[in-house]
Amino acid sequence: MRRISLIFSFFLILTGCKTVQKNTLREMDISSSENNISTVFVKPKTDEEIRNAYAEYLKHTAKDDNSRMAAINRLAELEFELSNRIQQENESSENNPDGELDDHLYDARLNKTIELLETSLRDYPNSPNNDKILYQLSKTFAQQGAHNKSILSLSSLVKKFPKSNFYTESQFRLAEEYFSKQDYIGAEDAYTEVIIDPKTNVFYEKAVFKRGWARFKQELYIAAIDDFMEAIEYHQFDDAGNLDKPEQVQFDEYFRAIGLAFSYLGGTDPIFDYFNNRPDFKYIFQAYTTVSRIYLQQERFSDSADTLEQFTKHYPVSEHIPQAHLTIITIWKDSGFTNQLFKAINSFYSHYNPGSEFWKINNTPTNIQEKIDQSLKEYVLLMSSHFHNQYQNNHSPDDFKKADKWYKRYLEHYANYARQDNIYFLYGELLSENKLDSKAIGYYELAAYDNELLINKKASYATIIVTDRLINQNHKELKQFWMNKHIDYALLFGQMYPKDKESANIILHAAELSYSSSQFEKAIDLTELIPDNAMPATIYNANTIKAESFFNLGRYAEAESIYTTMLQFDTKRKDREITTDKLALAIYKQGEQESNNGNGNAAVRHFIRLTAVAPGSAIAATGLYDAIAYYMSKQEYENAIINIKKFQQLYPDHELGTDIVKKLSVAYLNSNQGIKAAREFERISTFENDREIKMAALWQAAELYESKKDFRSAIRSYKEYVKEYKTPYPQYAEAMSRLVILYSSDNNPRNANYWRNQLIKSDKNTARKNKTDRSKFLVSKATLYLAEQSYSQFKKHDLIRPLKTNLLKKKKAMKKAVRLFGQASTYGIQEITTQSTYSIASIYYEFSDALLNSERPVKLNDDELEQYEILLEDQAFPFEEKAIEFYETNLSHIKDGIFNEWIRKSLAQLKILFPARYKRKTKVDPYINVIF
Amino acid sequence: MKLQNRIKLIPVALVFFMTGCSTKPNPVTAPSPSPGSETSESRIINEFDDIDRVYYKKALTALYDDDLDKAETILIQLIDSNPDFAGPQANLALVYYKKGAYKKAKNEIKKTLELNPDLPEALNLSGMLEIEDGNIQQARELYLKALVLNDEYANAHHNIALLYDIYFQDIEKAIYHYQRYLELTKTGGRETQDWLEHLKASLKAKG
Repeated sequence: MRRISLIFSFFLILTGCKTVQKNTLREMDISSSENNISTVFVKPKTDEEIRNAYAEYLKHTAKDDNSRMAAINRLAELEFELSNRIQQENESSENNPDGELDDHLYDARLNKTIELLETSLRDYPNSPNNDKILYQLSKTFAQQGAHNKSILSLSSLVKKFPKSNFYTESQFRLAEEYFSKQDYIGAEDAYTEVIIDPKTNVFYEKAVFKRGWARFKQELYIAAIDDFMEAIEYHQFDDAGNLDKPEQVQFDEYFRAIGLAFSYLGGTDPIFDYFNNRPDFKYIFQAYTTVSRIYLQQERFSDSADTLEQFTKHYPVSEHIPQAHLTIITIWKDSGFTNQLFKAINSFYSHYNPGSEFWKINNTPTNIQEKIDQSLKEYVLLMSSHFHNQYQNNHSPDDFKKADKWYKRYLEHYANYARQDNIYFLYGELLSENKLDSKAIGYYELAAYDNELLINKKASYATIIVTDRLINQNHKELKQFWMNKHIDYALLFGQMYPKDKESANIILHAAELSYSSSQFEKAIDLTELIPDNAMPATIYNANTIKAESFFNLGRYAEAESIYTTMLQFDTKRKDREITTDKLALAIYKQGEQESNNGNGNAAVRHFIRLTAVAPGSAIAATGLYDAIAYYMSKQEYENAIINIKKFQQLYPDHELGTDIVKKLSVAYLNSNQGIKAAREFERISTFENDREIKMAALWQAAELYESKKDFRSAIRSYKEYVKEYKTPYPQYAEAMSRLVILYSSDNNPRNANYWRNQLIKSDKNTARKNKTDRSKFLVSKATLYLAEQSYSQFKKHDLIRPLKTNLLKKKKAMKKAVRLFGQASTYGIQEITTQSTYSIASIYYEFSDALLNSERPVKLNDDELEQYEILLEDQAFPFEEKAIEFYETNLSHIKDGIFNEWIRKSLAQLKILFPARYKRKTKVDPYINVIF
Repeated sequence: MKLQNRIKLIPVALVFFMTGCSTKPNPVTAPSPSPGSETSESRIINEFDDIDRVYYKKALTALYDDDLDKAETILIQLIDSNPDFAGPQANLALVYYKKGAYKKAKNEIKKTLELNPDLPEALNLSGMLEIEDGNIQQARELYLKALVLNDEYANAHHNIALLYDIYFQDIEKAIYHYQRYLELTKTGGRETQDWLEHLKASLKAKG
């Protein structure tokens, strides 16, 4: 029953205006009129009471009663209202358990209504109001679902009452009935009856439109189009853009009808021909568009596009031309005909790019302008994207050129939207894919950064990748340029996306580059961006760079800290060794810095802690050595000794070991531990490989022993020296000289003389060029000493009886002494030469004197004695002459500027031996007769 | 006491004043028999007042008479009041030389030569003192300088002759200067004359 109600809803709407019958039974129907105002109070009656009153009335009323027909019709009306109420209540109450009962009541009321109306028609067939009874009956049949009976009632109505107020509506309903039964001719006629009725306009537009369809069904397309056009014009639609939704729906429906009609006429000529005769029709473009759309729905893409092309051709100055172009593009786009699409877009671009003539003379509405602008941008993007994709797929140079062209067009016209549309990045991608990195980087940068702000992660990543490639491709200056950019970008990326899975590697690589280009501060900044959860190897490598950077910046304490951290990593033994060495070097450098700043004690603390932190490192020994050197320089010998001992313990085989021993010796020496020092030197001379060092050490040891009066050890050392080092000769001679002195001090003249003789012997065996003044002096002194010993021997031999024997001994001693003095004087040492010369002169003089004063033979008489003494004088005189000769020899040195003790003594002797010459005096003035 | 002495010494001082001043080097060829005699030439000075001259004369007389202590006393007083005069200084040096006080003599002669570096007697005395110290070369230079200043300085000729003879054993030069000495003194002494002959003979013997 509900379904039936719905079918007739349309009908009910159409019949919404009812005619209220006023009759004599007014008093029975008091509640039916709200307009009745009584001066006397009358109690209102219920519908039920009214219906019962009418029914009761009819039971007792005769057929010829004038009021009976009115009562029947009124009761029919009440029954129909009741059926409607039942239907409404039934529809409003959901899950009504009494639904079936209600349907039954509903049907009963309808049947009652039909029975009453049919009674009225039967009993009063000529009543002038029967058009209304028929109309009511048709309606009630329709509500009951008795369609044919309903139509029959209407047919009867239009036939019998052509002037009825219900005529137009009934014709319309009949037209609809014909149309639904595909009786298009009947429908066309019935609609025409509605159209031509001058009294009504309620059904006019609908009827015109439906007649158009009826004609359409009869393939009377032009006539159908005429009706459709009439409906449109009758409706008076607002401008296309201003329609509300229901209006738009209707508008579309009308134009769809027109479009279909034209489409069935075929091609684009009919539409042009039709409108050629109606140039003022304001919806020509909509007509073309609709036809085009219909073709499109029929997948007649070429026809669809062609329809609009024709429009653009026939109406070149229409404001709808841009829309037509856009729609054509859409058609090709949706159809997938790319060649046609690109052709259309190219054409569109030519017409509407921002530099085209269109914009110069344009009077297009703003909304259209905006649409063009927006669409053009969209299509430029489409073209860029298409050719870019093509290039990515096949790497065709042609595709590259096209993509390049469209990207450039975009950037030329829509640079302000480039970031928003990601064009900088995409164009960068295109260029980069074609290995044009140096061009690509500029666009990647525009995409990625706004000043120093990173705004596009993907583009930023691309700048990093591309700059890295550029670093490897370009010459030195550009290489640095790209490297700096790469580093800056990596820094930004790392700061912005520290947790990105690529960040760690990017940062590490940039840090490596920074380090390799000596940008140590940046390298440090970068490594600090490495996240804590990065791979251990990455963190380790970053730490390496960081530490090295700190080191190169002279920030050694920070470098040390990082190296220390690195040692906590689980790495290979060799790596650990290297890190330990670097750690040690960082500490060493701290010491060096303190030292350079004049903070010696602080420096030493660093040097010494090296041996605690990294005793096995190469630099640790050097550090300790420097600490020792510092203590030595500051004469802190006790500290020096402590650390030297430590050095010897930690680094027994170190190359500085020898030097350390020397320092130890010096430290001992300066801390009054001379003997210990000497022992160290002596030790050096045994293990040292360098002959020079060995020699020097042994000499040092000997001198130390000597200075500390450990003569036995000194002698041992000098003897060892003489034994081992015969060259250089001067030092060798010196060693023998020292032995002479030491043995002399030790009251061992025999050994002293042994070394004097060894000294003299070595001199004889040595080339002149290897001798020095000192060595000559030492030898001459030794010779002089031996000569003096002989001189003493000479003096001891008195010329007493047996004179001959003693004379021989004295002469022999004299000869030896003279020979030795003569030898001593040959070394060119002035002092010794003059002493020797004086001594020789003295020996001769003393021998002469000894002869003259020798013991006389006992048995000589006076004459013999006199003769003997004359002989003695003859013997002695040559020696005296010799003596004078040697004394004078000494005086000969005066002209060379020499006047020493021996010359003075020689002169004194000459005054005795040769007074006539040498004892004469200077002439002294008695006074000097001068005042000033 | 001093004032009285001064009054007494006035006539002597006047004589000395008249004869003691000269702008030339002292032309004395031999010591005067007595200081201030007519034969000795003196230099005129204004600064050395009459009383000083009297005392100076007394000092020189004492020196001449080998009264070395007296000469020393007077000269020291004179030098004290007239420190800028070379003559008193030179004679004080001579006093010390004669006494054998060579160190003092050398000290005084150094002051003398600072006051008057061209005083031949001082140069001669200085040469003699250098010989005592063994500075033979230096002594020769001083003698030669004295002779350049006064070639007729007999004692300087003798002393350099002796130096060449003994120390340099340059007999030819010794002979020359012995001869010049003998020429200037005329009564130079038999001893020097004999030695000169000996030298000439030995030179001849050497060929």
